[in-house]
Amino acid sequence: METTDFDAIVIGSGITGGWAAKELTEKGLKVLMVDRGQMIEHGKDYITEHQPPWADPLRGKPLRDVYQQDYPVQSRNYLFDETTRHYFNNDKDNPYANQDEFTWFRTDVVGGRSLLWGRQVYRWSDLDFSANLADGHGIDWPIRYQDIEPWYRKVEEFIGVSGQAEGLAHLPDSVFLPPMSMNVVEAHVKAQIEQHFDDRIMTIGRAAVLTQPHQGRGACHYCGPCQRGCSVGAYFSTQSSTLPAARATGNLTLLADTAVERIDYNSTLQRATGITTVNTQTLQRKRFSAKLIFVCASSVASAALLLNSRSEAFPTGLANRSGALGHYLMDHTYRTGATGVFTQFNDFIDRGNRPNGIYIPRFQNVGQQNREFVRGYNFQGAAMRIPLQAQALSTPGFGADYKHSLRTPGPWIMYLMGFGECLPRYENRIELLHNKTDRLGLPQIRFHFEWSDNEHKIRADIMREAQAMLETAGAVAINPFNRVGLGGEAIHEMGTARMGKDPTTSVLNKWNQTHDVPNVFVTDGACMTSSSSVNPSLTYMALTARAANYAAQQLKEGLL
Amino acid sequence: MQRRDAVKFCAALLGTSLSPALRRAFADNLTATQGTNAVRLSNLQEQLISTLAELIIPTTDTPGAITAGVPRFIIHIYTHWFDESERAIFLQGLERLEQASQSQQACHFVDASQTFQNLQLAQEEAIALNYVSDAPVRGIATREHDPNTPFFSRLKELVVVGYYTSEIGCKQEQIYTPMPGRYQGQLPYSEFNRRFSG
Repeated sequence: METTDFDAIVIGSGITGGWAAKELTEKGLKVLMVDRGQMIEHGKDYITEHQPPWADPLRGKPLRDVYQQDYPVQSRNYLFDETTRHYFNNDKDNPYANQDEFTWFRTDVVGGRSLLWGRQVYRWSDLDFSANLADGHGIDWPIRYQDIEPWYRKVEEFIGVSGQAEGLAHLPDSVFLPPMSMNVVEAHVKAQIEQHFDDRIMTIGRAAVLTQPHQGRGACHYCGPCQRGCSVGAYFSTQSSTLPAARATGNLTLLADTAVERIDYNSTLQRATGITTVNTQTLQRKRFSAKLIFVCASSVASAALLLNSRSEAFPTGLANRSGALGHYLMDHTYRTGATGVFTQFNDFIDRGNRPNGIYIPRFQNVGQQNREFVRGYNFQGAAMRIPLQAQALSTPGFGADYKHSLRTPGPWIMYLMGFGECLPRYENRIELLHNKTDRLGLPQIRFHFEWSDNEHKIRADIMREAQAMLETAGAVAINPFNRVGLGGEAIHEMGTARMGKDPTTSVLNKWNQTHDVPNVFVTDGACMTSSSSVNPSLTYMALTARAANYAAQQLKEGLL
Repeated sequence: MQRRDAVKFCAALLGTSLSPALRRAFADNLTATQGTNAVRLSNLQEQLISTLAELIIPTTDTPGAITAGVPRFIIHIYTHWFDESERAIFLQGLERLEQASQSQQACHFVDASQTFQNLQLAQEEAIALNYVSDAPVRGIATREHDPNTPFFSRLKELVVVGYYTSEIGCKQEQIYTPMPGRYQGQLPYSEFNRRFSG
């Protein structure tokens, strides 16, 4: 084989890119990892970490106009403010075509969304991997739980997952560090739910946040805003975990500010030969060659890159003989549930900013299909005292009595919010507008996404059950909510290059390898054949580690 | 949903109009200017703002709004963050109070008796409590921007935000615990009698 610049190229440096780089470099491969975003070095570039509220980094500059003009999408994100804006995409510089019809939250930094993610990690089970086969929506997954179980274990042992073992078959336990604790109201609600509903339990959230030192990283100190970056590395990110491991091998080259325009394909070799990049600052184009390509740019960006990599052999996009590429876009239902007020625990307060909540595993359609919808949902939630500013502004009056009354927190409130499974549907897709390009000369993405009737039925059930559980637990002033938002708001978008057994209906095989081009692998959320209702990031990591080890082996055997 | 999302969300469900942009805009160092139509307040108006801030959060066994730097914050927001309609509503509020004092007390509002000041401010609050916003709900149901927010609501929001994010508001009015090291979910309130901040 010809000499190449690198053994492997990893496109993207987020949760999956970092894992691909770590695994491939540890197998001895010379790896180039590229990211379109600017470099963020662990620790030193977390410029707002531990910044107190009275020391705003932008010194009080009013920014409403800036957000409206430059960040109309990203400013919808619950983490977006002046302490995190430097991690986010500038929507004006890097737009997509229909920003009012789908919410695509993107970062523009090395490390990607691993810096900002919610850190909730749960194993999927065969309830999830066999869901499509069972009810006929979508195609069957080419893998089952036993295929991925060792990789879950490997990932968990490295990243560190705090949580409580529960022994559930449909939400398998991870390798756990000690769990975080519930507060007085959560513990009460847990007991009530488990006493009155024999089909469900409540457990502390399983989080990629360390409750004790692990792998050279420090334990959580409960300061709160993880999204600013954590210099002790208490939560898993590329910077805290996989990047140092990959760098330690001496086999990694990392290029920031480097967008990928296309994956280059040689029809004689029937292999990808490398990538064409665009420097996001200089707009200079460059080519890098490699024997192996790992596409880890995020569900949407990875699919877009393949769609843009057109050639005579692949006129509709690389590895798209199936026509499935860009289709079957999924997210989870979000912001449906209920809040309730608990008045009987006013004597207790909590201290510490726990970066985690509670979790109620799926209980509908488990064991048997018995609801008017298919699939299911889980609940996440937390109890807290009413936040100070909310209490202050909803309390009438002013003066000394007013000031002193605010020293006593208002009652505890608890929210339960469901994450519902989304069915894979052909109509939900991205397309590239080749005649509408951005500043890099890359085609803009247009989203097509509608919720289906099944998701609406799931939402109605989420609301009903959240209300029922809070009522049973003794809450008052229960307020059910169901805000049907745009796709993408749960930030669990996936499915645009799905895995499957049949090359005519899927893009990837059971090793996350494209059916059509054996040296191209896609291991981020694009690979997902169904969405489950369970948070997907841990599964992305496990699939990436599994695919990287397979690819390295295949390469070694000369099969790629 | 992360805790922070939940906090915003629950605040919204309580019917309040928290403005994250306001919190962002607060800072000790107010030298930076970005407003395109920066408008200066008169000395008297600035004194009036101080008086009002201290009426809302007065000095008691802990420092009040003035010591915490709240007036400076409000003036900065007025000058660099408010749009024209917000400025107009705010100025009208200041003028209403000043005129009431001139006509009924024959002195500036800042020099009037505290009884009178409280009475006038309570009247402004009554107006605000009757106001029903029809501004569109955005994001997680927080009203990012209602240009018609009444004078008192805006004033009180700025005082509350300014005070409780100030160093004094965090460290003296509350128990500042930025690095608690662990999570404790069942502490008796009577041992502290304050909130934790940080």
